Amino acid sequence: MNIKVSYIFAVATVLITLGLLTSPARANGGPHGGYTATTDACAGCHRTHSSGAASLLISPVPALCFTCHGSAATGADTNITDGVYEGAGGGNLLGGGFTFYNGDPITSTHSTDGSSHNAWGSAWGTAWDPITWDCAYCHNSASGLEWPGIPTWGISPGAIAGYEGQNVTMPLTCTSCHEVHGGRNYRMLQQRMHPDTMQQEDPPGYVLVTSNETGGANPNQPGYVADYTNPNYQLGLGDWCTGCHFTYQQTASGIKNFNAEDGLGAVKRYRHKMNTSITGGTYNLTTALPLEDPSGNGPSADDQMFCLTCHFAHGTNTVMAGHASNVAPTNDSALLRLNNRGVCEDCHKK
Amino acid sequence: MRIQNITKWGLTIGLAFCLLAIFAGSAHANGGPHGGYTATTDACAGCHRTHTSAAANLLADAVPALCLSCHGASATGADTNVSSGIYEGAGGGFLLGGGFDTYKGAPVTSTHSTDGTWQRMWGSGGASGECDYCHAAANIPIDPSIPKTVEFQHDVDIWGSPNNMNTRVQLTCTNCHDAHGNVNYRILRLAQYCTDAPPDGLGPWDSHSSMFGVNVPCAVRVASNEATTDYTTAQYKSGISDWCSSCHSNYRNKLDIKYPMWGPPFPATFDALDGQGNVTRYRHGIDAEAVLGATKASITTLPVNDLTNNGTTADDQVNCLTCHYAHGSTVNMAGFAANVAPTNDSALLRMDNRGVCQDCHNK
Repeated sequence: MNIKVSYIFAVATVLITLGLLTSPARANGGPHGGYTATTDACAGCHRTHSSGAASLLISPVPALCFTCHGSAATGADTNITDGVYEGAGGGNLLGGGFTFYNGDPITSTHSTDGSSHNAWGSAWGTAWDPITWDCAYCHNSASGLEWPGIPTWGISPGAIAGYEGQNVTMPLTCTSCHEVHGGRNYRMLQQRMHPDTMQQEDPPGYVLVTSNETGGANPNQPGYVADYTNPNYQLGLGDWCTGCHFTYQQTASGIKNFNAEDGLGAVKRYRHKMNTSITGGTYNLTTALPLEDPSGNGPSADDQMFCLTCHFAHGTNTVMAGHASNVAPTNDSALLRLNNRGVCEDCHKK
Repeated sequence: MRIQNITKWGLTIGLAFCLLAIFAGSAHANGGPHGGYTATTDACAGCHRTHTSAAANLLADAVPALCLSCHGASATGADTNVSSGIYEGAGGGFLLGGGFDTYKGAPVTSTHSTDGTWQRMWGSGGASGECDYCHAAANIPIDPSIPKTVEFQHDVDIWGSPNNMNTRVQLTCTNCHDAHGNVNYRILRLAQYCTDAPPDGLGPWDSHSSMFGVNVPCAVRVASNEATTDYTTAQYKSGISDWCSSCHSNYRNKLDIKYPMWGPPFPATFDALDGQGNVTRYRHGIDAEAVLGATKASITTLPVNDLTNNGTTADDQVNCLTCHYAHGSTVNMAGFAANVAPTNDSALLRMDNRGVCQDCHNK
């Protein structure tokens, strides 16, 4: 009896000691957050006296990011170029890839090279002035509502007179979406988005994105375990995307008419419902595509479709043909998850 | 009779005190033999031998051995033990500059060299000009009267080539400190090449006014807020960054700007020997470009420029010594901070890894 008690005590002591000695897991791995007073992380991206890019970066974004997250890089397990998780277990990244995905070349991506592209569906609310640039109507030097690295928004080449604030162009790169110093949001998504609808906010006025990963309610804290290959979306990501693609969250044009640059001009537009349950009530749909699970209880009636139900965040390898090819405004595969309109059929099963 | 004896003792004691006062010697401004010379000073003999010197410049011994004979670990000639980074005078404490061998009991991991071996002046040359454009044996192509003061060594001895960046010099104590004393903080040399301080659009060349007339050496004035010399408490006021960038010249500019002798300034490039080649470089702001602001002033523990001598306040500025020791550091680099070019060591930083960044930026 005494021996058994001693053994149990010894094992418990070892376990407790191991727990104490294990340093808290960095919320987002690598140099992205969880900084101590003598962190080495700054040197992962910055050079004080010899930097090769603005913001004292070693090299410009996205080249800097790809030194760890690229195809032949070893600094991170998330190979976003090929859309492959190179850590334990492997698998395909949830966001797709920027050059390849599932071994196939990409057919559409979000830009990363800093060149200006349209933020399709962008506009602003009822107080919007159609004459001016969209986001810059408020975020400009006169208002002082600016931040380091603020984008330079431009008028879409396809804009029509009187509606220049729609589908604005902006230079897009990795740090446009991700906060490299870590943050409160899932996948370190920028915390400064303020779309029309926010199901949860932190800080107040800015959309909060959480997941059902272990510790996913606050991924910047110890105990967070990222899952890069299995969907664990909880809430907020659909709102977050509409921080740029603003009007896509509205079921009908709430702000005057909208020019989708499809040849129809500035007319009333109708949108697919967002952030809505696909079962119960009016609908009784099932899908194999990812949904947001606000209650974290697995497939259930409260699961809701959102942007990433149909779209990848980074890039897709799907192909469009027939009626699905050359559909304005993107005239490409529009980051869709399935060929043609497979994302529609997956739920609606017509 | 008794009155005469009292008077006699009083005179004797009084004379003794007078003699002691005379022979105590007036306090030297910078201690020891470094400045404050009277007409009959003894200070010369502290370092020089007229007929038996064992080193150039009639020194009793070669630098740095000569310096360490007073400032070394087991020496008794000075309270500033630069080898161990200890102040051995009243109150004790650790020297502000760090140490050359140990500091706070730990071995140093990086130092400025003192042994006269060829070492690189990181950040020198390039946009800010190569030193021996003027200070060279051949004085190509300017004024032959400009003195050749310091030997420089380049990767390739072709003026204007990118290989003239990060020039090598033989560094020892007297490259930085004026052994004969001067008005500068810590008797730092006055006649240093000035980078554009203050920035006035004319570039660094205007600091050397000899280009177009009178040959006036540039004098970088380094000032402190000390009332009396204080070797253990930081009281930087101004000028130290300008002074450091006399050698580390490109580090003074936030973005490499070349100021040619004729024509407007233009963006230049620099090879930091980090594998990226001769490209545009960006630098952390210094002095007026790096005013703390209220938030950083409230959290930083590092020494800063206090121009107004009112304690740590929002108007204080980051200078070179905010992040770096002058002599040597004991900090350790790991992870991302290990083996960072061009020094591939602890680079005289004050804190492990990038603690100096986190201390202000608090990410």
